[in-house]
Amino acid sequence: MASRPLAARVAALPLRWFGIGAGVLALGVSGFAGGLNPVAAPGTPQVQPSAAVDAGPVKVTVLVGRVVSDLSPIKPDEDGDRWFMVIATIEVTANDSRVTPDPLRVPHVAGLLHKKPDRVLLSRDGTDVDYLNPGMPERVAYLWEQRPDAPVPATVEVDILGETYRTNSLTGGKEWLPDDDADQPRATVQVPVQDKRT
Amino acid sequence: MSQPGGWPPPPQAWAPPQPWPQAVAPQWAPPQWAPPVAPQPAYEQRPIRSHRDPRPGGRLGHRLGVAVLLVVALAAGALLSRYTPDVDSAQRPFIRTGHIGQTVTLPDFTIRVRSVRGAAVLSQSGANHDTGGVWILVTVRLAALHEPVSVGYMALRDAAGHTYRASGRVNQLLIGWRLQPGVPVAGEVAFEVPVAVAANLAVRFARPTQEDFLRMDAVGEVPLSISDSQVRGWKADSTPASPAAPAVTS
Repeated sequence: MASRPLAARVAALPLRWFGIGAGVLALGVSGFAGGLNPVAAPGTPQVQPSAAVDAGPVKVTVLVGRVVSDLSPIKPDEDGDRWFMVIATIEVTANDSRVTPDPLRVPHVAGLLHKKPDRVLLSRDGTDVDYLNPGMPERVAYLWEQRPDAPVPATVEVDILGETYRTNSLTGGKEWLPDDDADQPRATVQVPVQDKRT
Repeated sequence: MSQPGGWPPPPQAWAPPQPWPQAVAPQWAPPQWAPPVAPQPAYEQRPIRSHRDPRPGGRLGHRLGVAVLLVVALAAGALLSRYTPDVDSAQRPFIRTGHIGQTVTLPDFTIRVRSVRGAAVLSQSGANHDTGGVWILVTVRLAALHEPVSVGYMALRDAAGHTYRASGRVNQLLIGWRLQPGVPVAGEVAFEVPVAVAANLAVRFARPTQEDFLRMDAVGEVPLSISDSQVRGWKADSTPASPAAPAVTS
């Protein structure tokens, strides 16, 4: 019996075999490229104080934490509350002025009224920060109102949240939007807390 | 032969009814089944052994053809999407430019930049505000055309495309000022920019339909004629400058 041509024999193979072959090939290529190597569980990198962290549209350098009881004329919502403050240098690396970037969170500090900072002030003159401009790093104070009976920690862990320049699914345009996992900080930095209560 | 009563004789074909002959009386019988007889086609009928091309490689060629068509379709789609403007390009603002002293007319209002100056320190309400860069103060006349409008977007743009919004560190009453038709208002707007870009700036005004975006908005742009020596002089002068408040003008 004469053997059939190779092309005819290949063509006669079930389609499922082609799929299995393609899958095995993809796995092999992925393995050679390192795709099957074990991956460390995602974690938040710890950075040293005064190290700049790329948070997307801004570069953040956390400097110090501070507790103050009076920032007159700025008053807390509740009489007797004090301010928990994180001072950082913020530099806009995006192309346009950014509306009050507030990429910092202090999740382990007790007695805060809100998760987000209550005020963002410019250290230069104490004015509220509406915009920060590209290429003009500024020392900025992030303020949280804190209950007076909360303990003052010796150090504070500051989470730095990031944004990604990506397409807005509503408008179709590109803009800076919070990272996909918005609760996953880009980095965490531990800085000392200065007790400046009077 | 005649009939009695004068009736005509019956036709010859007529005959009186006869009794039914017994021999031809119908006899009932059960129907007999017979296999259906297939109609004879007008063409030759042969059994079909396969719907596929019996030639070797025909099946593989078909599959390859489908694969090639898929690749061509994907490539065409990629090519189209590559050369189709994205949303940001398709919805970019409509820029109308002018120069200092010239009136730039937008659909809702007009702009006329009168002058520009700079300072290292800004003073307002008794407080001094220094800067890491340099303050740029632009004197502009705004006039509504048909109905009350507010010009909410004022920014400087440098040669690299960076934009610097009007500063929020001082009260900028002209931003958002409710302009009435026929009542032009002039005032000074303060911006903060790095010293390195201050000599190559253009000021932009718009009435954005979306906050912080200028998609398909009309934007008036006026290049500012600032020299490097002017910038150095402004930065070196520590005398505070006070931005002029808005006032009705001619």
